[in-house]
Amino acid sequence: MSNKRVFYFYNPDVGNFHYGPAHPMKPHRLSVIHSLVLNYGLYNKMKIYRPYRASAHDMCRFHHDEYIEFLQRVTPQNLTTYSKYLNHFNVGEDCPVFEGLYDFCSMYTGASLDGAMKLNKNCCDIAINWSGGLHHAKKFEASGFCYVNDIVIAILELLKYHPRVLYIDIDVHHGDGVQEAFYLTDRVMTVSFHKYGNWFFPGTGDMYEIGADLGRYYSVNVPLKEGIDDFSYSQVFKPVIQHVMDLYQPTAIVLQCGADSLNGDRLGCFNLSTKGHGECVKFIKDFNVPLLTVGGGGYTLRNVARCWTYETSLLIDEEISNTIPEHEYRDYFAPDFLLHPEVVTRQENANSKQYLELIVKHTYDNLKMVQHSPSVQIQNVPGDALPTEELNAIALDEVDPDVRQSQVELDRRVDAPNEFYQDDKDQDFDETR
Amino acid sequence: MADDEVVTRVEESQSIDDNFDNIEDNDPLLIDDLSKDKDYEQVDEADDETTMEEEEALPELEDPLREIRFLEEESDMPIHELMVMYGYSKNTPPETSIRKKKKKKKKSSSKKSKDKKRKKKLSTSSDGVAEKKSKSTNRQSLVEENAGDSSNKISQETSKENEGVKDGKQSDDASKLLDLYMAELDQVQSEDEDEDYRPHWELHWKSVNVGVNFQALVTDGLSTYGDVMPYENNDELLWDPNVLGEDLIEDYLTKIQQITKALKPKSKVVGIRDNEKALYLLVQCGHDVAEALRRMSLNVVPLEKSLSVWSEDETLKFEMGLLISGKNFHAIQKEVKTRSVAELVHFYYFWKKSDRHDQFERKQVSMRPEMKQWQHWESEEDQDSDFDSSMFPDNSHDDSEDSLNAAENKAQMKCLIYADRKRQVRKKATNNACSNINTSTNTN
Repeated sequence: MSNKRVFYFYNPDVGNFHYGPAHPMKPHRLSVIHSLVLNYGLYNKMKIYRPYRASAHDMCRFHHDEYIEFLQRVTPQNLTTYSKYLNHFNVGEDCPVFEGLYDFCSMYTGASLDGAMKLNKNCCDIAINWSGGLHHAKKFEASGFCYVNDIVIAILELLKYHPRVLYIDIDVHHGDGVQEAFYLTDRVMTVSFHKYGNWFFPGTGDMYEIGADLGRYYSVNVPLKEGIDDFSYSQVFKPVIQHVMDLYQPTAIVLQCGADSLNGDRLGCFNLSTKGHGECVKFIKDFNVPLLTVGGGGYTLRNVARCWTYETSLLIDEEISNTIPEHEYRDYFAPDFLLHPEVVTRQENANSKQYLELIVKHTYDNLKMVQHSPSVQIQNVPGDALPTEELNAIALDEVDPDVRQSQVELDRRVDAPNEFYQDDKDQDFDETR
Repeated sequence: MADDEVVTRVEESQSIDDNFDNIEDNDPLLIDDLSKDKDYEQVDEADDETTMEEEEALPELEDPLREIRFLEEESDMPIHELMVMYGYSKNTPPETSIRKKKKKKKKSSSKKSKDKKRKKKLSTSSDGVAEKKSKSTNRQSLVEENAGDSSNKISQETSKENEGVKDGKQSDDASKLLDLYMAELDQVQSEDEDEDYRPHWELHWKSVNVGVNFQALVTDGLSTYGDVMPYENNDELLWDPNVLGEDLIEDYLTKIQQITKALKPKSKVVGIRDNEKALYLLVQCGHDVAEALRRMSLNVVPLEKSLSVWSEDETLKFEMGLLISGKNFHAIQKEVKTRSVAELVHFYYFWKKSDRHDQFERKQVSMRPEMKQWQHWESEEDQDSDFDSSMFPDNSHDDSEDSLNAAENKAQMKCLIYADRKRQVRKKATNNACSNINTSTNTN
């Protein structure tokens, strides 16, 4: 049994949307993942929620209300009456108007928001929402299959309780929407590992994009070239993240697990295996910082399902077999029916060792400046609000508070001795005794 | 855009430049202002028109493109001319050329109200914050430029680099990194140069937007939820693993399975799997196993998650709709009125792995042979397992030798869907000429 409290957010309807003919984004992958999670027996190891559905009001915490109103009203039927807005909001080929568009946005955004809230209330250590992670959406427009940026909205929620939030993006595409949203603040550090160059979407993510004003040095970009493999990736990922964690010391992490960085993706060009991808997730989980895990890209359906199912198992510390169990979508995993299929390298690794070393050094040099920059301290933490809230939350959520309480505290003492809020926890511990 | 518009713009910007001069004119080291200005205007005039054309073709990147065009222009000049233009001599501090750059900046950014991050770095006078920074960073880049290479590419690199250099003092490593970083770009650039004026990196260089229309509003400090949760009770707990022991749960699931088997002898169940409905039922019963089992045996809750069975009539209508409208489920829904779009989508993913799908394929090919190739790709799409690279040549990365033209490349950066290899192949296959027209209209 995992010593972490993992919450899993899944709306059974979120998979039943369709972007339109020949569109590579397939929300139904979420149903496939859920089915795998069930059939691997991972379901009953987590606390499951049918998440809250985000309101237009929630979306407007980041997005412009005109844009959200447009999303609410537009349908395939009345498309023509909105034709002049389509260009304005970048809705069209990449981000088509499909049946139930707003419901879809409301579901995945609500799930991320719900996860952030549960983390804030300290109900859980890890929140999982595979339907979220649409990191390209901008304040005023849709972009790259993303309409509403659930990540930004979830981070804004986390910022209510957390002085510093770290955003990590391992999608093959640059996390431009999130970076842009927090480009000027030092309360959110965005770190993105992505393919850059040769017109690769979205075109941003240059290593010189480091943030501005207060946020200068709080945007970290690690541009990579095509074909990167597990080994090279971890050579870059681990030192950079370790460094970021040491220097920035975030109090919460949002991890975007875009699966288009996997080998054989329809739009991506990296060569990661499910194991290599999962390794990054595990690495971050092991920092024992409250973690919101969201999905993202991933356009080869069965690989996405494999990857996120495997990562679910990593997050709850359950080992699962390499053989895909019998389930309704089993045919999609033909012919091998394996969770970790062999990596077929189609693209040579264009990242030389030297390049990777230097890019890590470049990142280090920029991160050095973080130390010298004024960072938000935790002095603003509201007095006793947190402990009481926490008590309430636990009392509400746990049927058997006495047993749970001791379990929770035990875990925490082992798991997170260096948490900044250790004292609060201890206090809490004493009170409940 | 009309020519006179260009002229007014030039005038406008000149006046702004003049203002700028006045503000900045406290610099005693300024040399030969007049001749320099002449030089400058010439470059500018010639440039403006071409830039305009370009801008019309590429509406998204105006500002950076403009700037780079200036730099590009200069790259074609002989080095001594360039030095003169920048007022460079061994003993002259680089301030004058900074002023140059600033003017250009000024002009292009005053034209568009969009706040571009990179602009800000090199700064206009209105961007007060970055003003000081830009001075020093520009100086830095100039020093680098003087150090031997007059190619504008390097100056571009250094101006990009200067943020890092300025603070990091890692020029050695940085230049090595830059070599590696720009390697691929250089290569493509040299190939491109003849046919296309724009250098390669110009296109895939995009800046970060800054302004109220782009950033999220981050409130200062922390807040609390207070007594009333903002979103209370809007989510629903479906399962909590921590209440009952694992053995109890497994036992419960086995019993449930027996019950369902008894109720539906036909349904085959393999092994013990998590049954979300059964677990939810357990939560609803307050984790009282006996009660949950009792309710289950009464069959209060339909257990199987399966779709309510589709009738033959519905399936036929569905297939018909698919044949006519493709995977436009909204259109298909008009055929199959008894099902919602969500149900159609759900059904589709099971249907396409069934025998019916194979039959459907055959029927379709016989009816519309010209669609054969297309439909093949369409249906392969979701499983598209190991579509091999020989069949789907990888356009997105070998663009130097590929038929993709610059506009298409740019579009690819703008639209994620353009990177879809299937889409590219399909497009090529259907009609090459047609696809060219399409992309040109798209980019316009």
